[in-house]
Amino acid sequence: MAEVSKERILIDAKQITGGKQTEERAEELAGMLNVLIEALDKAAADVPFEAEPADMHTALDQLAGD
Amino acid sequence: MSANILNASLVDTAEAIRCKELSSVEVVRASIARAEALQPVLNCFIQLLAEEALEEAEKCDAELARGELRGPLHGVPMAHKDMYYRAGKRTTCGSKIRKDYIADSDSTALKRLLDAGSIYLGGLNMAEFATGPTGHNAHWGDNHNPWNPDHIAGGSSSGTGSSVAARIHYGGLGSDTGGSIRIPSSVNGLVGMKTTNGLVSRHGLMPLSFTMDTVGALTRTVRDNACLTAIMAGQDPLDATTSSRPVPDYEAALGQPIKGLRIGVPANYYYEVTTPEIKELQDASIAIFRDLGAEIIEVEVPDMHVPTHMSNIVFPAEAATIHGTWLRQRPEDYQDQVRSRYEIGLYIPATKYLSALEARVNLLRAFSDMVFSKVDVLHTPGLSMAVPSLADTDVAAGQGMPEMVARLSWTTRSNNYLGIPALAVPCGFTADGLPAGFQLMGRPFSEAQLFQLGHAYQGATEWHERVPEISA
Repeated sequence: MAEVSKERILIDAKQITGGKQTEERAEELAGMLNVLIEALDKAAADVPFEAEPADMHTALDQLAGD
Repeated sequence: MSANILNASLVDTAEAIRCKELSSVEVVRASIARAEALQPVLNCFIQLLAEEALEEAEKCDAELARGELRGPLHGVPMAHKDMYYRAGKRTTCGSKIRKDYIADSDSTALKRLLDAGSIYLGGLNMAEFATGPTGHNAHWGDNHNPWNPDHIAGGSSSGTGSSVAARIHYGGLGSDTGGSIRIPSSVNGLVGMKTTNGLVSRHGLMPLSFTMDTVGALTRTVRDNACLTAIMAGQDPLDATTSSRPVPDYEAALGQPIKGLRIGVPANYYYEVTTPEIKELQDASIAIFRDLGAEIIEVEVPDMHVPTHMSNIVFPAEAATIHGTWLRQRPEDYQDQVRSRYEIGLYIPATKYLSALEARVNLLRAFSDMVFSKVDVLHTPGLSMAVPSLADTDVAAGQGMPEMVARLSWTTRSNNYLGIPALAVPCGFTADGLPAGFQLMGRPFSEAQLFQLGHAYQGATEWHERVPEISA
């Protein structure tokens, strides 16, 4: 099921930008977002969410291989 | 030294000034003359600071006459992407919105280059707010490729790419959030280093993506790039994300033999959209590494669409945060293709943005396990196609923009999400006479090894010595 709908974009646009969004563009944006979110949900399925994102710097250091 | 002083390398020019074979004034004058002559053709500069640069060159020569040396770059002119702040000076970021922006602090990376003795020649053209892989810019004019001005100079560090390749100066700063150093390096026949996240301070650099922006240089030789990276790298108290690791001696690594180093060639993803002509040039460069004694190993890589998708969540969410006020209050002051890339970020749920950041470590570990457990570096195309024309990539109003960006950054975008370094190196020319390059990707903080391999390749080839035939 789509996570982000055209209607959601139009509602958000009204609040965020004062409603400067066409239905056509809202539909395009929703389509693009849903592709990305679907990929994210698969990639993040095994993520334990036990550390803050700054853990990236620790990982870079650990994987340096020296 | 070369007969034409601007054809020499940065390191050789610095040495010639230090030894008083050349004066800084001579070199700076030559740079300014060439910059002025080529500006109507290439449009490299947003601001050329000729008077200020000449005054500084005179000071450098006087200091040298007294036996005083500022550092390894004493008296060498350099120009940089116009997004590195100098306190009290104008930095446009290639935009209309910041056309008169005066910064209140100095960029650490730029300051380290200036403290090493380099002379600031000016701010270079770039994609608006460092967003775009082609070098189109409606505010400051399109940037052109010195090998053929009808073709793109790449982006977003377009002016650095075209001006260094055109022999206006020797090397300059770019920035890389998804390929913005490596793409202009590949299309202009240059060396470009996308550094490991945290190696070089981003303090005083116009932000685009808090988590993926990186600082690096574009040069003609690997040796020049190693020299500049060594000067810029290292912890900075003004940027909490910089690493405390000691900076290796990159130049010492250059002379090391590469025999036995393992170079991976990807079995999947990277060649999916590569044209046969580019594939042939990649194969030829791999053959040279084999002749030099490297071991070539085919490796499976993870599905690189995944980190690319993740970066396409993180980048617009962060860019829309930075640009939120302007997007609401003056959207008409952005080019359509730039605004359209930030706009999607306004609608990304916070939970999804944070999930994309949390998935980063897992994907980095997966890539590292799959690739760097088998090889030392991964060799991929720098750009998957011949350098396209400005006309073919002039995408208005966002129509087709995502597809065009995806094609141009096919091999580069995932590195910024994964945080690992990558070195672009020129490897020949396509049938239309435009450059092509490869990219070497390494483990985090393995810049020394990438420089070692790139330098060995340049020692066996002459692509980097070719000069574009361009006249004013």
